[in-house]
Amino acid sequence: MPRCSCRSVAAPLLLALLYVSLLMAGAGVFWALESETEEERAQPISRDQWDQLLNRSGMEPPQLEAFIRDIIEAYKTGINLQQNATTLLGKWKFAGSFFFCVTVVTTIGYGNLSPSTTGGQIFCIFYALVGIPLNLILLNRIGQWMSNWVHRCSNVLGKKLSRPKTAKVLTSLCALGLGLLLFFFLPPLMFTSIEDWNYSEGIYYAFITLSTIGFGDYVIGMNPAQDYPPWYKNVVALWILFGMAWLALLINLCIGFLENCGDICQCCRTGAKKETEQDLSDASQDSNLQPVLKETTEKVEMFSSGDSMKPEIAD
Amino acid sequence: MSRFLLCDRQTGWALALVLGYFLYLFLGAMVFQLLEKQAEAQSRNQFKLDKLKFLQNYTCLDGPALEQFVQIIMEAWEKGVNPKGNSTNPSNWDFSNALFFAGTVVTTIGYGNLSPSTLAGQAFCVFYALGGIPLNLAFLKQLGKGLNMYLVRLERCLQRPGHSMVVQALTVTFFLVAGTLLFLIFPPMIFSYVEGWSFGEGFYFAFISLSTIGFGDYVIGTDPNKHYISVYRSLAAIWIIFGLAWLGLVFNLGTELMEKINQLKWHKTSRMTVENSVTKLEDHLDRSRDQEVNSSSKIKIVLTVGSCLMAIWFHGSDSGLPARMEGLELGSSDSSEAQFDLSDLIGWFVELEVSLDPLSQAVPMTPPNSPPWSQAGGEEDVASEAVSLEAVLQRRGRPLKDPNVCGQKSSLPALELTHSPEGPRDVWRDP
Repeated sequence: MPRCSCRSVAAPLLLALLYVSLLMAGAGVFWALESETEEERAQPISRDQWDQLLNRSGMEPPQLEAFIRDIIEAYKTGINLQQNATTLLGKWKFAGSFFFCVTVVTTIGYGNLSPSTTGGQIFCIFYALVGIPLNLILLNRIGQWMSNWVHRCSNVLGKKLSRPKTAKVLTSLCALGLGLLLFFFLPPLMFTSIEDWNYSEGIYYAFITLSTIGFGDYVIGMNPAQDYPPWYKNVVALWILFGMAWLALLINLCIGFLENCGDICQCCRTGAKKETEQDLSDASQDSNLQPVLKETTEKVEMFSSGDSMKPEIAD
Repeated sequence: MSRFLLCDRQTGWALALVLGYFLYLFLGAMVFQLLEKQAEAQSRNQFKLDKLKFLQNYTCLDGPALEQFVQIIMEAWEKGVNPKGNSTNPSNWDFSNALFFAGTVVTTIGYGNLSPSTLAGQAFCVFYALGGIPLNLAFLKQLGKGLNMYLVRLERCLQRPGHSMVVQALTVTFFLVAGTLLFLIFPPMIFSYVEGWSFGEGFYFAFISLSTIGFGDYVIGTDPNKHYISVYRSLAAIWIIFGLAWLGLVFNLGTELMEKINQLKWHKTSRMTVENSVTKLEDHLDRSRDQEVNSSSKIKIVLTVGSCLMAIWFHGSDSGLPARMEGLELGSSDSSEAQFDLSDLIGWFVELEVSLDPLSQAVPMTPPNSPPWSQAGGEEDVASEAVSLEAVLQRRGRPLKDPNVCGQKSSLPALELTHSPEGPRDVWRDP
């Protein structure tokens, strides 16, 4: 235990330190970037308009405040106040509810819609409790299917090029590029043409959605002044599903990379590995165990081949 | 023939999954519509009424002017400016708030009460999340490992011969109950006290936060009329991080249970298919086998199903939130076993088998000659597990004809194979 304590303590500690410093750095940058513009924005609203409103309405300040509070409460509950009363957007119609369900089970949670009744909140908890695992399974499946596909491509290419390693790298790069194009650079084009956003906002929306952060500052299909084609929301839902699987794949690769980097205490690690190998080779050299090892190796080979369900293996 | 059967089953399961998923979504949509539509209509009418009343009271304001006023307020609200109160509101983007925001980004909670509005902020947010989310997941995984280590230690402290299963079940229950209390019951009490919410709302906030859905309809520390103690948000952040690690374990358990239920079914119905393919492969590779192999393969299948089920139980408490994304690795895509960390699973299985075997009770779980890093977790852990098994078997001097022991032993080369570049599937691919 004492020999390896440096690794088992240092790596998590380093990770924790890195994590905290990342949070701090991010906070600093956002602070620097956003607080100035926020102040700029706040100025006209809080000073000029405030005075103007007070003068125009002839209200007392407390009354005005109470009125503003009412408006915000109403806005928070998802009512669109801009239109006149007859054309208000019914957010909890079926299409809206469906979109809300997608945001719940994928844990995107835009928050432009959220249940306000106690019943709705309770149901939401149980719904998410079942829906999130289900969604994860589906994402796993899609990711598996995608990586299978890439694997197959690299196999075919490897046979043609007769250099499997370069083929693997090539297909991985191709998959990455194609995924980027398909999930990050093309959908924003659609958003810019349908929503009232520019391209960078579209990319920002795509990333915030697929990473399941889901601030809800940009949400598709929420502008009542816009006419949306009927296929729009379905296409976006599909994009979310596949894009999330793809991004999960990418983030997973990043995690693998990070964790490999995290094993910094190489001395302990290599020492430990050597000892394990030594033990194993000792065991295999033991004459008593030799036939047993051989037999079990055979059995495991047989079993693992029988167990794996991929068709190309049974081939 | 067997190939097509296998293919059909897999696509069938995938299809059922997709269908179930969409059905689930539709069902949810219907229920939410049912629950929320009335409330929405009610509050909408209420607002209309308020507006009319307001217009009646202040005759100097006409309709369009009021509309404009409402629009201004809404825009302000969208941009994160609180239009209530005087203009000396504290900034939304001071350092502690920015830190809170950074936390909501990397954990993917994304409440959205704050979001970057400048182009530079948005661009930085994208890259920040790209680096921060994996880091956060790695951190949570480590945290989950740490939590699990304590669990295992507790288990070992409590363990008495003959009570292992009961003890394990008890520790898991204890883990669940303690976690629920610590992460889902007490914090909502504090929140509801500080924020003036009902307990139900506090609990709802806790769940929405820890599941990383993060609607942002309830966010702590945002009421400008309240004075919060300075560490309030930091404490909440710590709660979120630990709670995420814990809830990740729970969600993980659910996910794997669902997957395993299907797998169990598959194993039961297609045991014949497996055996067919096994015999086919045997012929193909032209290896001599005796009768015992076939009969023991049956036993092994049963054993694996059992071990898988037991392994889920443990695996659920082994890896944290990142396991949500496990199984998506490019390499581990062949069998459905690759859905989770095979080495972990087998390691658990080995340990369980050893601990369940009455003969091994006399032998300590970690033999003295086993390497000392056996508690470090990860690959080394599994390797040491294998070594300890080796030692146990050696010491026992038991003949290895026993199918039970065969089942145990079989996992040892599997470990080597899964960690070596040429896995078993590569061996079969180009015979």
